[in-house]
Amino acid sequence: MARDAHPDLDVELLRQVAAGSAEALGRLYDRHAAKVYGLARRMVARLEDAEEVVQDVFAQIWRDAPRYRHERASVAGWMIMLTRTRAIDRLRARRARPDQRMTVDPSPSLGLVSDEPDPEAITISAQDARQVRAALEALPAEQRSLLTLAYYEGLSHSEIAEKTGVALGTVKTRIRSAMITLREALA
Amino acid sequence: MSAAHDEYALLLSGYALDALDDRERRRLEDHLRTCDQCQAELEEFRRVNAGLGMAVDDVAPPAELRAKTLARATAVEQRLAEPRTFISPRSSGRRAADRRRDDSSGRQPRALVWFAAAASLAAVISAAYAWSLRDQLRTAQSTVADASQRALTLARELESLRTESAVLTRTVRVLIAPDLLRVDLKGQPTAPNAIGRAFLSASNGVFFNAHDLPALPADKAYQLWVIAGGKPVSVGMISVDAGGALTLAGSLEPALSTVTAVAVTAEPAGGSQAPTMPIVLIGQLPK
Repeated sequence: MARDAHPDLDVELLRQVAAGSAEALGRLYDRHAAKVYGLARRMVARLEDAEEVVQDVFAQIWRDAPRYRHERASVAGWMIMLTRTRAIDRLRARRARPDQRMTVDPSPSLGLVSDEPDPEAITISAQDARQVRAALEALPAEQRSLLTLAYYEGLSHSEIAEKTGVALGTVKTRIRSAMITLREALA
Repeated sequence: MSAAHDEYALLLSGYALDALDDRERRRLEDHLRTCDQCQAELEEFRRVNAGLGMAVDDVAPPAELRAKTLARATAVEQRLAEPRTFISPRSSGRRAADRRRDDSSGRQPRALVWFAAAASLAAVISAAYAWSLRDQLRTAQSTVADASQRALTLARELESLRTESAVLTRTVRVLIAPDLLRVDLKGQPTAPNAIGRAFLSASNGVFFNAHDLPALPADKAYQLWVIAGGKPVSVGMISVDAGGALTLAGSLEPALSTVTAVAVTAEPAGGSQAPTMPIVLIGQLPK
């Protein structure tokens, strides 16, 4: 992946974003928006929600860039984690109110006792991602389907058990087995 | 490791996926504060998460999303670079481990545990907050709609006020004229109770008002005349003002010196070239 050939470029762009460069954010958008949007589309049903997820993610990148410790981590990985979190927020809010126009506040500064902590650094490369994907496709179907429900649909163990009729304990152990297999792929 | 610990280990992958129920999640978070091994395993699962996210095909977003996204993003305030230190009453067991980890890897202390807690709590509160915002927006929108309607009504009122104001201005001009002549008009048999008053000024025109004139059907109106040189000359149609009085402010065409009387007749709504009998009100100028 051409993008992965320049992880240092992402780090440099993020540093510029942290210094307040909107242009650098634009370049990060050009490099990563398709990945962010792709995951958002995979997870949320409505186009408008997927677009909102993209906006939420980049707003959070802008906000948190000064705090991001990028020396040993993947900017793309961080962005993907943000995308999943924001998409889950939207999924869950949407489930509570199926028909409404949604706005989910991406900056939860709502008087919580603890402020949101600094962004977690993730080390993952495009190569890693390819290996995870291959391992995912090689999983036994019953593991893959449950993991898909948990990861891409944001369902909890209990929700998955309810939805599929599989016993709760079985849901937990199958998902754990799947995750362990995928973890091996990254080792 | 103990059986109890295995139980926590079982929860880790679910935790990474944010698939635990609240009770399980809280228990695991309590445990994570003091367990390096689980922290390490969790980190590995989080990498799997990232991998799963990146395993999805790219989809090019719509072209117009770029500008919207960047505009909204850069409107947000950036956080300060210095991280705030969060002192957790239960993290004392971790601090030594954190310091060791910091020294070796140069990474800052992780606050995994309450990041997840804060993030999920924040998500719930965000949703609730978003709903309160949505309701406020709805209220604001209907207020705007009302305001627009009122603005329209006010515009119309302003228009009619302007017209009235013009009439009043003319009226004042007449009434302050130095050569003002006042004529009292008496109701004739068709309007015995009617009373009218006209003020004439050579320079500033005519101001007339009357009351107790009988109401006319919609297709008729009262017209004011001056009799000048023996001939009736129209001043204008008399209208009902906002207060319900019949008034007219108009210009005086003939020379004031030639006017001998002021009269009112009932005419078709658009007015007539010559008065239609009978006369309703009439007054003679003083000789």
